[in-house]
Amino acid sequence: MMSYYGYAGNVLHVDLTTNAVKKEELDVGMAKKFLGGQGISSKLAYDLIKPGIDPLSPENVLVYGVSPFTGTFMPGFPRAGMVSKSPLTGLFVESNSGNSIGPMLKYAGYDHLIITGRAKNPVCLVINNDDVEIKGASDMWGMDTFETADAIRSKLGDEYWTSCIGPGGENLVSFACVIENRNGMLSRAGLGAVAGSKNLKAIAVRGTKGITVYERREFRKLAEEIREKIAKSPLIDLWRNRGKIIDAYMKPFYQRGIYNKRNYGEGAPESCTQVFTQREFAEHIWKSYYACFGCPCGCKAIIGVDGGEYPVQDFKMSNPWGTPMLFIECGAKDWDEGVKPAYLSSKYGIDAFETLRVISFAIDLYKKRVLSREDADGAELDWNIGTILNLIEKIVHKDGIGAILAKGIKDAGKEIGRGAERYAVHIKGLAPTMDLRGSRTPDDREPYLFVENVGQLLDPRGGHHGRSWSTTYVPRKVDSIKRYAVSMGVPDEAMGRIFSESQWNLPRLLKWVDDFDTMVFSLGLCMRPQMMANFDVNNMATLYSITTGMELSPQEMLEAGGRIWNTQRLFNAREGATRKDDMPPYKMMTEPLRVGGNVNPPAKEGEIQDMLSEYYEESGWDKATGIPTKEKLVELGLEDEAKRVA
Amino acid sequence: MEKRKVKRKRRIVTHPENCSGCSACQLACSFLLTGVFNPLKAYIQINWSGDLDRCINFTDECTNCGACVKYCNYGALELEEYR
Repeated sequence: MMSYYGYAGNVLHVDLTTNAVKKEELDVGMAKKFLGGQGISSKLAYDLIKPGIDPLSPENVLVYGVSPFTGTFMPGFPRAGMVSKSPLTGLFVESNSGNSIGPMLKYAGYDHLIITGRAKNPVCLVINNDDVEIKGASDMWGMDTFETADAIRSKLGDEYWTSCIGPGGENLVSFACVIENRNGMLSRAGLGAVAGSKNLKAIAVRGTKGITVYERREFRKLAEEIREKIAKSPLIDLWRNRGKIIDAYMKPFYQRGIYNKRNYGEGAPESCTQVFTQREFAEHIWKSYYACFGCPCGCKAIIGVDGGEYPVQDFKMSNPWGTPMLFIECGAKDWDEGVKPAYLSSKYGIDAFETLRVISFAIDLYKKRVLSREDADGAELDWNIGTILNLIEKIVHKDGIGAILAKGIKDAGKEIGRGAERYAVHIKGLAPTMDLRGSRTPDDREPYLFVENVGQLLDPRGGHHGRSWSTTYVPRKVDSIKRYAVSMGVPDEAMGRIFSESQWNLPRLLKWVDDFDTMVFSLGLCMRPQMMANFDVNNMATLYSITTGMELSPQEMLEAGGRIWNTQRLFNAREGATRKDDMPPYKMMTEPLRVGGNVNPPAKEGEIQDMLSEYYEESGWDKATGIPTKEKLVELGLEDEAKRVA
Repeated sequence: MEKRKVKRKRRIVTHPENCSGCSACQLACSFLLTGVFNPLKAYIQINWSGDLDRCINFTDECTNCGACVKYCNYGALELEEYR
């Protein structure tokens, strides 16, 4: 067996139908082409998942992936997660966390874990270095995610790291998530339901092997330089301490209408200035910070509510401001009320974001009389905590209207009918994070399109801003954007197409952001600005070679990002996704958005269509279908895939 | 008068209330002392009781080299010298 650096060097295959376990060496050629983490996982998923299968059938595959940088002390690369076919969107899904079992999986000797089939009864996959066992877990079925993690550790010992589903995943809620080590969430687009369909209650991992790197001295030097830079960053205090980021970042986004409430119905300026403030957060629910694995920033927090009507014991929350605040979307009136549904989402193992959007959708339909009291099982649905808590229970247990809502916004809209689909706000079936009707400043009225909110249209997973993270979410001068493009390694000929004297072209820049971000995210990088700001295409290439001992030029690194992005796009194309699936939700293109006393106009369909055309052209995709062309795929070294494209 | 070298001893003082549980100290310890990354190989151990209470312990092999201190970005570890 060859020596691996950075990589653990093995892929573990587990078939839950036959109980077969197989270990094979990591293919070095594939590693160089797809880097690692979600990159290699995407290629494996593309090859292993047959098009057209039911995501909740034994034929679906869960592919866990960990990057060659993850599990080392290089600051900023804690993230690892899974790829599969989503039961929510019917398309590609990848979801990851900074407190996953990924590092431990590598210490046990595996970069990737491929789970196929379906166990007859609930099981827990126990990996202890080379010993891999599929153990019965009927005793844990029905436990929530906290109880499951505690049960595993009390049975196997504290050295085991845990990944599990709760009742949400067991009951096949389409947006159920996987919770790792009690707080890391693989939250979006239903990985928990895929695990549930396989009767896979949990994975427990212990590894006592080590990960080494090729150039130890250089690696240490670079790690220390970056650690030093991060330690001095003023952003650390903002993200770590007492929710200071709320006033600096969350509040302006709500005031600009980029984040909003009541089923994408209105901005939330008053709530932000009076109720959901940093001060209230710090005084009411913040207890302490904690960090992702190996991270010098510590932006996570332990939160809780002492006393009051909805007390919650202190617990770790990976998005401590975002998640409780999100529940203002459907009527939580202050921080104290927002914590309870956030806690329940973790406990039951459902994606808090999708849950609140579904609930918000239901309340909106009720207010518009599309849903009656009878449809709502006799309850009056209103913008308040009572409705939120009632619907969470119904969704998790698929009780009454909960059984419909558990299918997600898109399918619930279809099933309810009577015009409900018009209010079903989703992109490819996933509720978007950012509105396209938000403005540049709170006083502006014109919609402000930037890389993140437009990027949601192209994300293969559906509407989420996290895959196209750039510096453009804050309006900047063109020179600043130009420097940013250079740092990503955008080639000169493309720079000519993107930049003019005083302007930059959003869709053409977005294509390169997607390639770059896919490259760094495949290597496990965190999307926080204080992390991303330290890495450009050049030091990523250096880091790859000193870690793995394999040389890739900066250009090859960026190209690998593009190759992964195109593979994910092909996965969706194979499932029938085309250009129309990249369009914004109907509501955003037809209804204005009220933000405080102002009204922002709807997004312009023509403008979006033009942007898609330019993005496709820059990407080498067919303009009519949005599918990568044969020529582009051959250029990316995806010859086998090119043969399958018409 | 000839100056005599004074031999200083070092010890690591812990402030578990500041610990973020990130394990960077363990990664530094395992890498710098054993050549590979794995917190289970580190001579410093971070134990969490549930989600909240952290305690920091050292195994008998710890030499007080201070690698863990250097990599802590939370003020949870401090190198103290004494005569």
